[in-house]
Amino acid sequence: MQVGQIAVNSLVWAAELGVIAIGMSLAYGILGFANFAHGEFVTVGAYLTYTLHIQAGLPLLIAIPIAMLFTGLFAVLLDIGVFSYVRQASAVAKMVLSVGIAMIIRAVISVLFGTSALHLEFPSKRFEVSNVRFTDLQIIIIVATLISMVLFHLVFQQTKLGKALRATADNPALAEAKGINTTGVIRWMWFISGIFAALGGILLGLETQLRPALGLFVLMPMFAAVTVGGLGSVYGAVVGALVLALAQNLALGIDYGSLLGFEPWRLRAGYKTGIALLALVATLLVRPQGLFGREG
Amino acid sequence: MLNFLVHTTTIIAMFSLLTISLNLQYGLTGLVNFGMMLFFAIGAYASATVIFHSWPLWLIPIFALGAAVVAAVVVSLPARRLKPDYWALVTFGGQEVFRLVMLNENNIAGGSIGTRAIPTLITPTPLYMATLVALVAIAYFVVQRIHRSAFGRIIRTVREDEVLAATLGRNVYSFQLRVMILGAVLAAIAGVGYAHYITFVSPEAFMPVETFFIWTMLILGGTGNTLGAILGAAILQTISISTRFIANYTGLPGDIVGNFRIIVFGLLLILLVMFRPQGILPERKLVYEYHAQDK
Repeated sequence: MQVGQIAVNSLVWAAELGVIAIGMSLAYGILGFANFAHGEFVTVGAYLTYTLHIQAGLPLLIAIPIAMLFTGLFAVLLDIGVFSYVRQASAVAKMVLSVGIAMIIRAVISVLFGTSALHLEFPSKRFEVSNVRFTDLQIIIIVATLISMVLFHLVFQQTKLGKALRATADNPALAEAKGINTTGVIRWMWFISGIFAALGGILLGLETQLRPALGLFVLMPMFAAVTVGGLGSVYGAVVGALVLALAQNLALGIDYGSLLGFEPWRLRAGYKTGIALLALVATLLVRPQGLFGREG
Repeated sequence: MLNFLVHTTTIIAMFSLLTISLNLQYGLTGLVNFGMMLFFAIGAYASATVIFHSWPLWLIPIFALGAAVVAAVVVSLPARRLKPDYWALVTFGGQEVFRLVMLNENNIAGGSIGTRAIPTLITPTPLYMATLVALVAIAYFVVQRIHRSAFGRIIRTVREDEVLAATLGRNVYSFQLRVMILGAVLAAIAGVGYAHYITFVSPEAFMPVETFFIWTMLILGGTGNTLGAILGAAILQTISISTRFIANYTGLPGDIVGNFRIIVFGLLLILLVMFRPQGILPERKLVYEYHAQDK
């Protein structure tokens, strides 16, 4: 595969992954545990869009925001119903809890929609510019994620809520003492991470297909992106997604055999997740705080 | 009915080895292993690989134990530098990478098709059951002995406070490594037992969710309590096997019943963590009396 194609493929995958990783990183910064249920928000968002768009016949542009909104509310309900009870528990206990939630969501979706692949049936047009193939959908994906990331940046930096989010991530006790309603901030955090994960899931679903294991499929790359960028660093998560997407596509795109003067030999596409794990482990060993994480 | 009992007991014994292994790692030492399927799959694939290539059978234990020890060492390497939850992600990914290799490489043990017709070796089935039950008994006594020994005191100190254990002059990493090796060997033995009982090994059997079934069993039975580990495996496997009978009886599709089982396990996991994290049989804290002459 040539360099231009690798760049385009990486950019699209990084956009989808980045928008998912933002919420994951935000949650890690504020709650202090790796949320295994985050991948399921991706699945929920995509399947809600399927229900609204394909089953109920709503136009895609109306179905998507509604699906995002409901996924965000679903995340808030999870906090009210489950996670708010275990605020004082250890990170490991919360992580195990989130695994239980992920298991249930995935199984419920399998029961409701079946395990075979579903399609959002987006009629995308193919283009080819100097041997680099891409679709109009891929451009939409990149633009949509860029817009949402800028929106997130504005909320995070310019609004009172953003300030409260940053303060709570920094030092929850101090934030509480300064009169910040941390419970409210945490609820907003769940809402934001829910809608962003849903958006990522919808874009992934438009480009590929829906399966109940969609969330499980993004889980490992998502953890890797967030770790590479620095756990808890929201901007790091976006850069981490970009680095990881490039690493994955390069590792799979390079013809190692020809490079070393032998017969053409490439890594099988099935190893994409393996590369994510390697990036995760390498980061943890060499630079545990990630690219943008704080020391310690 | 007798067949059902023998089958259930065999499966419970298999999973008891896994829960005892996890209890040793997490319950006693505090190692959050989210990749139990790695070691289980290593055992199963040791058998599958040997059968797939028609190699001599005596290679199976060498492959299983050798690969389990190597994997335990490799997985433990990052543990000395990582917080427990980071290390959990590494183990979680590790099991998936092993599964991906087995799925993508057709020359090891049949790739996605897997390896069929793995000989049972020990017949009839009650004898197979007895062998596994005996292995569980051995594992139980070994872990109980460790629990009460000086080694056990140190690993529990490591669990509660790594810095304290290091301050007491203990090499925390060396203890974690030894626990991981023993845990890996126990899980690999369960994997070999699985391969020769089910007689079919394919990557589908080692999905990450299986790891969390083992976690649910351990937390239900009682984290830190070896008897609890066996009890948890017994309760959940009895439920699990019964649902398969219900599926046959009612004619409901197998995958729907399978998903309901996952929902029940997930719910149980959530409720346990929220309301009874110590499980049915809580860990019995050992109280040591100080005798001056013991030093």
